[in-house]
Amino acid sequence: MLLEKLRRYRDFLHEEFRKQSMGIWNDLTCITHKASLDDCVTILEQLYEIAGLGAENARRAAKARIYQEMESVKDMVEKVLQSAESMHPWELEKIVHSLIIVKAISNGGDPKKAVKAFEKKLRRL
Amino acid sequence: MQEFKPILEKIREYSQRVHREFDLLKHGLWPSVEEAQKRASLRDFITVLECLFEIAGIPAADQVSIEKTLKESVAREIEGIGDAVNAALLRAEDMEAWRLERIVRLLLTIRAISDRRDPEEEVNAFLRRLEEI
Repeated sequence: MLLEKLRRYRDFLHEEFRKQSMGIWNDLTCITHKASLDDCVTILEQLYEIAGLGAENARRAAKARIYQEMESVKDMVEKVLQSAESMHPWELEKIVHSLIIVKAISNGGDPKKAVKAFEKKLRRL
Repeated sequence: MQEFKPILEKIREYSQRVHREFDLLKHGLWPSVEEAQKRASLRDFITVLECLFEIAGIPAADQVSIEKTLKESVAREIEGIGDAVNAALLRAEDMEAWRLERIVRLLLTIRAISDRRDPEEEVNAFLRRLEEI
């Protein structure tokens, strides 16, 4: 009885595997047009895992690409930060929000909570 | 003029508070970004990139084009591990069932994203079918 169940389990898996793996690369060729960046990255993670390379390596590779992109906006960000003195406070408030989110993420905290805490401080004025 | 004094005082306080917070945060920005690269999840790291776009005042159209470039980079990364994935798929026949189950789940997730369906729902449906056997 148990052996029969195991056999059915294995047959089912192989059948499903054949269905799902057939034409998988055809689906993936148009992925950059259809899926969001988040979804592309999720697919990359799944493929790394299938290949036995570990999803963490996929994340590292994708993060390195994103970091390159950050390097290219660094100068623009710096210019904005330098011109902060002449900004209206409400313009600056938006930038502070973004900075708070970055800091919270970097510290492993909750970005939404951090922004809320700042807004609370402002309301108390 | 006297009646405006409390309001003006409040605006001054508000401005001071925002500037003070800004000064505190701006110096640590790039170290924070580097730390996030090491520690944050990929999704959070994408949020960091979006924050930097917002600070830089990059228009939405440019953001879309940057995102397109990133997606293409990820697609190249996907192509790059094609051989390793194919080799793993070829080994499937000899795999232990629990390992094959894991791979089927991963394939279902990929297929669902590609067909714009909910990956979690697809995997749950598969698990239900598995329970029925």
